Amino acid sequence: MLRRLMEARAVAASLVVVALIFVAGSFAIPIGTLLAPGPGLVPLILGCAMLAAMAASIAVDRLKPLFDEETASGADDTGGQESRAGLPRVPVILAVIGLTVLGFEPVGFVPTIFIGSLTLLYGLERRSLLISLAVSIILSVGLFLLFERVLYISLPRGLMEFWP
Amino acid sequence: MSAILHDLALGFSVALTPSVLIYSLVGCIVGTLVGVLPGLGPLAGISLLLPMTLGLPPTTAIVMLAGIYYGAMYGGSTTSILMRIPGESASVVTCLDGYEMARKGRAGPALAIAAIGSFVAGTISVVALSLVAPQIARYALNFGPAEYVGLLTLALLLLAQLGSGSKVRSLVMSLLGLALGMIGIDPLTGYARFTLGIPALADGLGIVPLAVGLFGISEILLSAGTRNVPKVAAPRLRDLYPSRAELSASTMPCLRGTVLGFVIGLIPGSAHIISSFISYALERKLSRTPERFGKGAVEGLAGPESANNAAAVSAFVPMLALGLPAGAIPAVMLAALMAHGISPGPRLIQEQPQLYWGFVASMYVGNLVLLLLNLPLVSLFVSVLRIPYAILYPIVTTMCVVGVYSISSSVTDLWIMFAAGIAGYFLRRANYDVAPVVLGFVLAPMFEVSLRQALTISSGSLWIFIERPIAATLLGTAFVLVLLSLWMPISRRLELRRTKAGD
Repeated sequence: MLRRLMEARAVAASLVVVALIFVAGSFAIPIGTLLAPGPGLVPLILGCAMLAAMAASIAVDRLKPLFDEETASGADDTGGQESRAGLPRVPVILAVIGLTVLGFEPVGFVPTIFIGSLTLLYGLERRSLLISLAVSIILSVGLFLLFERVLYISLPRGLMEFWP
Repeated sequence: MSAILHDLALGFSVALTPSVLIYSLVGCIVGTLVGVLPGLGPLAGISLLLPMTLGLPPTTAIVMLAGIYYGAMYGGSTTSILMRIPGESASVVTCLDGYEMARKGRAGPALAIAAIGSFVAGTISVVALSLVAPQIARYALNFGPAEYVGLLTLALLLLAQLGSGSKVRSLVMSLLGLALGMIGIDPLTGYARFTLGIPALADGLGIVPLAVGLFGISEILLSAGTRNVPKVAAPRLRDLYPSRAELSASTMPCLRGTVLGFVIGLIPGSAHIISSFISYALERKLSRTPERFGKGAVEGLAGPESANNAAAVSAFVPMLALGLPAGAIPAVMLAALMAHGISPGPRLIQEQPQLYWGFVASMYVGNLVLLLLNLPLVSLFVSVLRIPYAILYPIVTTMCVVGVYSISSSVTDLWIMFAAGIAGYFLRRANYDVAPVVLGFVLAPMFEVSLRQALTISSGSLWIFIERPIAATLLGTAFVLVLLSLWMPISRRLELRRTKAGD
């Protein structure tokens, strides 16, 4: 519960920072006047409104318990339940998505999706190698063919430039 | 009336010719398949398939594109209900209760209600389009910048009521969405704002990467981080279709959503998105048990789905009657007509009655085709839920990645999705509702441009929002809404105190 409380405070602080960025950023561009509004006017208004709403939200939260039973039951306190492989799921999934995005163009669609799916299915979830391989191949090659050949949408080939 | 019936008969004689009928069917099937792929919404679907229709006769081409449009709208609802991935922004609201119904083993009824609601709304709207199109289109043209500010303010305040949690937090989220919508080149002056020096951000954040991240990726992370992964109950065969109680509960929301969606759809902009959000807020407001919303309320699915589809039809009114596209999709349809050498406008009905009424009649046919196509496929769609979650989520993750990338072939969009996924995960863990972020984001450009134009027109005077009757009515309604939402908890507390004193 303490971890969730800290997380909630960090989220609230982050939102205040976002609002301040919009307020400060507005001054870097012309704000104009009510007669001739500049590009910074509306972001400035929105940033200020967001700060005011955050202040109200924090005030309301101080008047009542931050979490009731119903809302606290949505996710556990660890921030990442362990998978069958004994690894915390959330950080691993995030790492896989991040690496997939990173390698998407230089490495290519098929290899990144294949490796990413195999990592999640076999490495993280400990599904049988056969199922993991089958799903990974269908996802990577199948989607590539669907998008390239049927929908005529190019996907990055990367290392597989030789693919016809 | 007899003239309209005569014209409709002409339209049906065109729409029911075998070749047109086949292309309508093909359009519906292709549209449904495209809509089911996350990220590929109706706009992307129509844009991608537009070149394929150029070789067809104009009537057949426009009928096929309309089929793709409706099919993609329905397909988008399917992924929202089954996987909580909105295929396009109008399906965001469908995620709220549709997905919750699926989690409770009611995926079949949810899909069926979405199909029936879409059919009813689509059909009624087409009738309305045939009867009152020119008159209503003329009225919608009265909307100036001040009226838009009023409408959008009302939509945003209604939005604060939308979330199942704190109203203040929902307001923060809608303001965050509006602020995120400011990123990119200013449409009026060309200034780059908040782009952090990244050229790809000059066009702003994309709605699909943002929505897929906030809903799809964050859902995967939340489910993975939960001690007991929320099992999506695979329904039994006899539970595939809605019960009588569910059908009855969805009737009025469906009709209300149709009327609301049709009227809002006439207003240029992202009307079909706004209409689904407003319909959801309305149903929640009218419900005796608003606490069920967000937890699988049938009304929360039927209303927005109907509104969304009714708005999709009425968006064609200004396009057909006046040649003014009411949004991006009618704009692409307009481009398709122009590519065939046809200029839509007031004279289209007189000069090309076969095309105009053939198109209108094909909408009736398209709606029926979609219903007949999708109801038997409910069991096929639902079978997705029988796949174990550990296998399903890598598939969903891949679909999110490929769907987002396919829109503009931009890795920046993938990073936006990734960042939105992480933000959505932490926001939802801290009990912030992320749906208002998306609507705020969609409304942002229109809100900003309208506000600045209104101020310029009035020489900086705020009186313009009071002097103009429509703007004043909308803002007045927004004000009453604020008063009501402030008064209701107070009156509830007073009642509680009175009851306690009585005891």
